[in-house]
Amino acid sequence: MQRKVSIIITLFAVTLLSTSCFDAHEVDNYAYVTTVGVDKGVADKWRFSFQIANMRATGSREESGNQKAPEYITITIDAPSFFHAVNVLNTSIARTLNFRHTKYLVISRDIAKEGKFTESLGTIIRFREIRRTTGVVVSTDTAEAFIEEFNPKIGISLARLQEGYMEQSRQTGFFPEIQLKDYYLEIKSNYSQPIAILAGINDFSHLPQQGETDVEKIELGKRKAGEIPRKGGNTVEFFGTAVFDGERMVAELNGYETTIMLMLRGEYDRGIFTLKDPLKPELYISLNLKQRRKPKVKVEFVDGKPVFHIKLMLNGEIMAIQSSIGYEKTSKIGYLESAIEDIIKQQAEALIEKAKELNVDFLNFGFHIVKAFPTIQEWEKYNWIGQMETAKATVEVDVKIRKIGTLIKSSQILGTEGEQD
Amino acid sequence: MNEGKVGNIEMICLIVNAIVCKAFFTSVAAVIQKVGTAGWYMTLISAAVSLAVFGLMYIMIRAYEGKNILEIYDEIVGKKAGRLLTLVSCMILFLSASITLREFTDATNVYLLHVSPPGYIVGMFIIAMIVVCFFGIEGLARTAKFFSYILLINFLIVMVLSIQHYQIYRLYPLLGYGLGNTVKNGIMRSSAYGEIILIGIFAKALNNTKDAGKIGLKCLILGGLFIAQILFSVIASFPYFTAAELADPLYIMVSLIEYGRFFQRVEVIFIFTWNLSTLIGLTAIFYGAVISYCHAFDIKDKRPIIISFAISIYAATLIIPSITIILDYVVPTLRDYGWVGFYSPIFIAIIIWFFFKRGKQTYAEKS
Repeated sequence: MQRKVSIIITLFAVTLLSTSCFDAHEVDNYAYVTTVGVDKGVADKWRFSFQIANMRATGSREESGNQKAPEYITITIDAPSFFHAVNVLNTSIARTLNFRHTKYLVISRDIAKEGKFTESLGTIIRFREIRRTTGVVVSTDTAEAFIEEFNPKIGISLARLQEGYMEQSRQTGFFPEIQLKDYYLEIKSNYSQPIAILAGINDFSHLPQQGETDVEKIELGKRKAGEIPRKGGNTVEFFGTAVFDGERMVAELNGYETTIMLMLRGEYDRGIFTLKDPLKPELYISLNLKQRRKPKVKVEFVDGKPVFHIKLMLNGEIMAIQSSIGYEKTSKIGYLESAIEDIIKQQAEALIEKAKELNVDFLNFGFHIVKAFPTIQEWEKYNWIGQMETAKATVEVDVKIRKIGTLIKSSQILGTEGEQD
Repeated sequence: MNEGKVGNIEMICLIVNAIVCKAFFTSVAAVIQKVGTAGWYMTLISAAVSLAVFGLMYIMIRAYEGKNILEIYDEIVGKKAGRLLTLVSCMILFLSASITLREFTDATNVYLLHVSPPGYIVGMFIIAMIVVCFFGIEGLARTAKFFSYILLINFLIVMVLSIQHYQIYRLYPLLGYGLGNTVKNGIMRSSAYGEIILIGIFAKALNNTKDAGKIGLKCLILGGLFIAQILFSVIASFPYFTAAELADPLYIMVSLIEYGRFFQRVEVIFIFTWNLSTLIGLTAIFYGAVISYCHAFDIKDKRPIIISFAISIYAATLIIPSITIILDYVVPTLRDYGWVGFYSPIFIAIIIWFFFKRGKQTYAEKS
């Protein structure tokens, strides 16, 4: 009998305890913020913008009357601090702002240049709701305007769009995949200096009209976010890198420089590499380049100064040869490989020079030099941050074209006038 | 209460959980603060020191076959002094359980149950501990073995998945703050494995007390490898200056796991490991404290003592007003000086046995 009573009491207790606890919340208790932006404020110190997912609209695509329910809303507020802004906003949206699904933190270039990320937003890392995998973006426009535009113009959901941007870092190599954890580790790091994604709004004004003649021709990869000559599609562009010295943004890297930076950091996955045809420079060759393995870096000290010997190893796949010259032949493939190696070597050396001029190690050379120090005391005493200008580097590039696409040779094009080049 | 008998693997599961569960909380950051990048092998030094002390305890267990370490204390130093040594063990186990439970509560409060009052979390946890303790050491050990395989698989999964964040350069400078500092801290922090004394306390539950030696050896090897793996993965995932800042580096490391759009936010797997391992480990420590207390005062029925100990541990866990006091004073003191509580009864007993009892024992055996 006593056993039965015990079981019944236990079951009652389990039932009561299983109902809920203090932390129970329904999904619609929260307003899920997908992007947070910060600019300099007018009415108060900072201007915070929050892009909030509209749970009713997401996925359903329902229309009420003629109006399609927006997938998101953007709220902007001037406030002295982030959490103050959040607290005040909660009173007006009748739900609690929740940051568990926040994908990006966006700061304006002005704030980045003044080195006020931590002051405005950086301490957010202490906040349990913010995931450290949140992307860190420096916007060439105001963060407010960026967030207003940061939504899909092509038919995918907002969340899919925002995740898709990050994936493109690995597909193109034109911007780094920098998350809050990376940025936070590097601002405190004595191994290297931080970088962030550079992004901007393209108002499509950079695409010249047909017939315009006095247009300055700049290579696509040498442009920066928001300046790509195109029209249509999403207005937001992720392109290039913001380089920081501590917390202060000191430089911007264009698309090509970013690709080389990623290669030197060992973070380049793949991307299309286009070069002038070595035999017909007016035409182009496109290859899909992939980093075969992380770069081999040897460090030696000469007269107390570090010398880095870097070897980049890349695999290539021919995508297109405009000239139809048979580079895929064994006798010519080496010629093409050497041409690519030369270009990458020159660009890498130029980027290292840029890092030395800035005296900022955004190439993660510190990761290799630290191995020469047995204890933390000796490493901290050496103080690598700030010594980049003393470094010397040699770069060796090894490109192997292993795939040639679906064609094993390029035949000449024939016309009435015979073979055409 | 019928204590029953415990198999060797069950005992290993129990003790390894008791040792390893502490590594889920603030201790990892504290170790990195002290020894920097050398933390992952510092803990192996601690394990080696604990193994040496365990060896001393095992000598006594072999000398007094069929007895647990508490009875051996009584034999060697007499009932009154033995009671004192037993109470020292009881006290340190009680403190260890309450401090680790407080760490668990604060971590749960920070990451999972933000609104729930600490008293509620501690209360729920203690109720679970009481239920398991009422089944005695046999029930406890069976539960430990049953869950340990699942916990091991979970642990291995999260460790393997975390490899994406490992950066080998973060292990450099290899010697941390210096070899001397690493060895010193390794010796001082041997209390991380202090729960190995539970083998002595639970020795009579084994089928043969002589098995305690190989069980202890395996527990320390496994415990050392698990803690070293945890420290290694945290140090490889975060630079030493950042890892030392984090309240719960292991949880944060797991929360970073992200393989594509669909495979992310897997910390729930870790939470399962974290909760269950802590429950099993702390229940073992708590039960060890109860057994020690009952032995000191010759109490046969443990159930009232379990209840009163549970109430005491509830109070002790919540008496510290804030997490900063825990982090600044309580946990560092326990980890740095806990070895005094865990190991001094063994040192005292072995010295007395060696100089005063061993000869007599040998003579008695020969004659």
